Amino acid sequence: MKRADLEQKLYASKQIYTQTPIPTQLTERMHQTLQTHALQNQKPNRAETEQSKDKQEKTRLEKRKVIGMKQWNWKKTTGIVAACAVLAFTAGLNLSPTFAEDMQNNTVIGGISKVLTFRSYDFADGDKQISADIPQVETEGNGYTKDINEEILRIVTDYETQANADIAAYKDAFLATGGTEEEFEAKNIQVDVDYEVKSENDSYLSLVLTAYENWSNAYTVQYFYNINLKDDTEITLKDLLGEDYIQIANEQIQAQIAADDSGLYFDQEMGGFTTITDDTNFYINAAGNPVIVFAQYEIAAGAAGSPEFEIVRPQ
Amino acid sequence: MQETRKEALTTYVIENQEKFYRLAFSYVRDQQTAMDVVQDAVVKALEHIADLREMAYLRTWFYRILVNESLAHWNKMKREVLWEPEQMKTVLDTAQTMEEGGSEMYTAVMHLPPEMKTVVILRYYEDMTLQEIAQVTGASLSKVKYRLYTGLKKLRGLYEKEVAR
Repeated sequence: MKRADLEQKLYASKQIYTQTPIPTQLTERMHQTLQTHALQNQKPNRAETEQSKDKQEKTRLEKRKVIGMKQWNWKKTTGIVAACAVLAFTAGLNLSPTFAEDMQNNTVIGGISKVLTFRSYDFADGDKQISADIPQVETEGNGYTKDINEEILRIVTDYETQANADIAAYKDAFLATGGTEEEFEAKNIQVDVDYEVKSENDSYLSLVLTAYENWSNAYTVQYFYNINLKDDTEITLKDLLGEDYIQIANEQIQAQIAADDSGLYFDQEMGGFTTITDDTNFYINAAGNPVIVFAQYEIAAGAAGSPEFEIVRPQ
Repeated sequence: MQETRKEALTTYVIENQEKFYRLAFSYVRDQQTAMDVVQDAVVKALEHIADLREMAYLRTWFYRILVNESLAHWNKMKREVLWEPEQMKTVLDTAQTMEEGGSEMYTAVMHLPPEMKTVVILRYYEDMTLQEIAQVTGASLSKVKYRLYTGLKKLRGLYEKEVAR
């Protein structure tokens, strides 16, 4: 069959497509959906802040690049996530400048951790609960670790500032459209900043910082830090896997995806996994192997969460 | 400004709900689920309308949400449900084709793998340009072309199988 014939048949089949029977309830359901939303969910104040976000996002990304930090590849996640996960640069929350305050040792098995909870607090004002554990890594030098510490403080400050603004705008809109204080409170909005030390010994440290707001998945962000403590530098996949790190990681990831029978992974056509890059996120597990982490929706359906792949180092 | 955007979206949804439903149905093949998909997509769009940078992109932006919702639901159910001949029949029985081969081709399109199906439906049923399809699917233009190309190739095989039945 020729291409032209094929296309002609396709246009013929369009008639069937356009005649797909429409359930009578559709209109009713649409009206309900639109009405419910109109009552609940207005955000009149937010529009004002929208304009400047583009610029702020750009500045932020540029800055991030300069210090070579890892972060999600925004472009790869869905449009909504990309557009929403914007953390604007504005004046900071009142973070304590003194290191000593609230400083506590965070013991790990086998010794004293280099990671300290610089500040830990819970805050609730009726509209929301903020719970934050902000890590800092002990260092005396001016190397990678110092950059990380500064980066973390900035990320947390920015995130909370933006979260406060988002939630305040959300509330204004909610009240302005007939919602009550009680109803808003019942939403139980939470902002959570936390970190996890994935592994640590004398020579390296692997740390993941996670920030999220429970009312929208779109606001979840994670940052990965792998530090070589011997010379205070960033550990890369190449350091762990050798020159062929891309090939080694790709082969193992592909094998693990192939062995998976959940059906959640996208295939290549759907924008599924193709290859890791130097920007791919990973942490180091207790066995010393890198574990590659993809963002939700990046290579699999949302139900798969953030897929992780342990890459066994070549002997 | 926000209000105007919401109004524009609302109007757009009301005017095009049947189109949305058709697209959703072609993935999930179930009336209730297809309505769920459209509803979820509309709610998401309303919640995130502030993130749409230019209203000129409303259509491709909304279709992107809709296609993603459809695929998410389809992924959830594809293990259990295959397209039953009966479901196909309800569509085919109500439809009247003027031209030969239309129903076989429709069946063939419905059987395409989702990513090719998306490109073919948007191109031939929703009359989108390849550029628009790239915006909807988030794939590069060359990737869209490639998917369309492989989709048509595959379609040829499926169609011939359908005619032979």
